[in-house]
Amino acid sequence: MNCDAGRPEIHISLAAFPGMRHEQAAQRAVTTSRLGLLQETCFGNISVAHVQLVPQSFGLLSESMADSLMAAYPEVQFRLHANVRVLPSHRIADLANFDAHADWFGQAAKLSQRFRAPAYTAHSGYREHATLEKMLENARRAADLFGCPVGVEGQYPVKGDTLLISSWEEYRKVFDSGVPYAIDLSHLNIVLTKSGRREDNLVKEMLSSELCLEVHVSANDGRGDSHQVCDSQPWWFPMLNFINEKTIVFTEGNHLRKKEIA
Amino acid sequence: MESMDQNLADPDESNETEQTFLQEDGSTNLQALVLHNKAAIMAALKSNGVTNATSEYSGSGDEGSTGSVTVHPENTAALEYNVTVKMIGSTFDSSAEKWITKASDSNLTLEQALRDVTDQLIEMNGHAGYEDGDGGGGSVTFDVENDTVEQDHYDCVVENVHSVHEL
Repeated sequence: MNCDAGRPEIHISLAAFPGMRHEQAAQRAVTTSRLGLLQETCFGNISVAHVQLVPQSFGLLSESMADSLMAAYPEVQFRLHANVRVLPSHRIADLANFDAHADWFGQAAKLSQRFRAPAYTAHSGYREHATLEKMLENARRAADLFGCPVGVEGQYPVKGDTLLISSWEEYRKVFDSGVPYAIDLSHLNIVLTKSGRREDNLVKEMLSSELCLEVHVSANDGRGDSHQVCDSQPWWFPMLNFINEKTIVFTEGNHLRKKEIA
Repeated sequence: MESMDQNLADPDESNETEQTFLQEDGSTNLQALVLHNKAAIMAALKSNGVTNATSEYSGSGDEGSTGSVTVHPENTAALEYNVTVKMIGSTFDSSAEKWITKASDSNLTLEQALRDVTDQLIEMNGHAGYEDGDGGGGSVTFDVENDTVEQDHYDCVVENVHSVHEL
């Protein structure tokens, strides 16, 4: 059960089980869910109705693996996220370097269609590879390739400010662009910590929009994206009530390393 | 920074069975898998006159991957050399309604084999998820002469210098 009525259901991202093979992580998620043991303190039971396949999972996500996953867990709607390992050689493929990894995006699109995934989301990527406008244009091209909505996931400030979408101003530009997106609330916690200010109205607007394909949740101390499980309610917790009813929320908290926040 | 010398001993392949690489619960016996693949890769490196090979990996912000693979002396052709390594794969048997996990031979280029064993070592040594947060990285070096494999791993940690000033 979720914490409160009206709050969206929280689904599992396989980032919760980093280092396990895709099928191992999926099996862990579904098995523990069936036993009622896939839980987080903050959110209660975690759903496997939607499961996100992620780059933190090892092994090749091939066509045959996709078929096996769908056969094993027909009740699950799988979708891809970011640079999940769809080619033998692992790539840092994101929306800024879309053209440089055209073969990776082509294979990811095939698999996404095989899963009949309702959406795909990718990281924005690095400033050295594209301007914000070019990256957003790439997101539109990716949507044509995938045949489903493709969302860009905003990032946060890092040393040298190398990542695209790292400030409230850039989040606003993404929102105004009309390109679909994923909001990682733990990334926004870092934006808040580094900028020293909250933009609650912008966050609420973005969460409530139909352009918001996914919301990602996990905990961190505001300094880095450490993917901890939410053991207490972060500042953004009340904003979950504003999430659009069509948006799917995934927890990325690491269930293999439930570290306390210092 | 952490340095780890695996000093992995060569396996006795004649005694290897399917169960060598899989635990009773179906999980992978990574130590056995890495030992087997180490022997195969060392033999391939040796036959190509390579004295050492290094596979690097790094990542941050949820994105990580194996980067460059280099050999010494420089030998591009050696990286394309085919080597047979054991890889774990699973398929779902719909009639039995269970996953069938097998360790099977995979014929890979030496470059790809080095990348895959790097992934196996990252998992075996507890560094899976290194790309989360501020990230991390490292390298895996195969030293042919000394028959050793060394994983040198680092995790990035943000350091804040905190001051409070009161008027």
